[in-house]
Amino acid sequence: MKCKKCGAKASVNMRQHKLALCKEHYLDWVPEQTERFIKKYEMFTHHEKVLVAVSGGKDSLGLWDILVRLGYQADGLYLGLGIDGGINYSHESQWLTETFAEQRQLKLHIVDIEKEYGQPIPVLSEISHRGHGKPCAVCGLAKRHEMNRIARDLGYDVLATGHNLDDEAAVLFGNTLSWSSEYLLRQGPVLPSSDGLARKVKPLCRFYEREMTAYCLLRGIEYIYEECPYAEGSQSIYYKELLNQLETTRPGAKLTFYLRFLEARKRGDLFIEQNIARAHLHACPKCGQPTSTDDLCSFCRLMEKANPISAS
Amino acid sequence: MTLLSALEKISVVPESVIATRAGEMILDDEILKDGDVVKLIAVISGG
Repeated sequence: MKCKKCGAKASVNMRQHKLALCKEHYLDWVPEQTERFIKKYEMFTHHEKVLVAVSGGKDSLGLWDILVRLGYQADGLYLGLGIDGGINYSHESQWLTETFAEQRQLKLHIVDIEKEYGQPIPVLSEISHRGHGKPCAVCGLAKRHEMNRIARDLGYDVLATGHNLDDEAAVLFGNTLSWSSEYLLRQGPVLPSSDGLARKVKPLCRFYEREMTAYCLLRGIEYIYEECPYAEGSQSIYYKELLNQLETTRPGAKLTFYLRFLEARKRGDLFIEQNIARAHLHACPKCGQPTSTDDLCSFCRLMEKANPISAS
Repeated sequence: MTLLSALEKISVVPESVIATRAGEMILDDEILKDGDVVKLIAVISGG
């Protein structure tokens, strides 16, 4: 297969775009397309400070690399979750992230959950009895809380995550299977800011996971290959595998699924929005972040349970 | 045989992997020769 731009041997073939590119043109094409989506979905401008949530994985490091190449003011935030799983998972991912930032002289904020709140994620999960024996629910809660806290406290205009098209399609698929209209109404490339909540954007939302893997390999970005030890058997991975089987026989199916959903929702003929009761948010009396609960937010309640002596 | 045929033979979904040979990325139409060592990199992440 030949590169569409120059005729050299192609390194990446994107069947959903009927486009094959050589290494050089692919490494130009990805940032060009990212810039196009940043503008199309009005994610942020060059005047705004972007905080990139980086995990040491291919998507978040790839995203940070692309934003820096495009000249954006992009700093990183790494959350130390304290997950070992026999493979030193958190240490390894932190080391890779720090190395990436050092090599490029980028600013990286690091928040260690155990140092900050007294316990690592797996222990917090056991204490809270939340999530059926796996720490994923507590992990997600802690990440969202901390990303918003750092973005807000350090004055970032927007929080960017490395969610790719496969992530979006898998979430959309799961929410469609269960017709979770409240989630379906919220899913998209941009979550606008609201009282106390930073704007959240997904600049990679139209790139396939395969394309981001290719980007990192061709750019020589060292990322963590191993998955989180708790990810085994997860629903989202199962959905991704199903969607990839569909994509193999129907090239472009994942992209069409996501883009047509966004278009249909924008037209307004998919869901009747006024039937959905909006949550009333108020500031948590302890941390000040928005919450729909009557008193403390879920995160502060979890911390009180984890540190009963220090909380009183 | 092509990379695509080889992946089908071992029941690997092509969309879920990137293949490299001698450090270079290869595509579905690449002809594989006896003795070739092909590395398959899993692309699915998350959880």
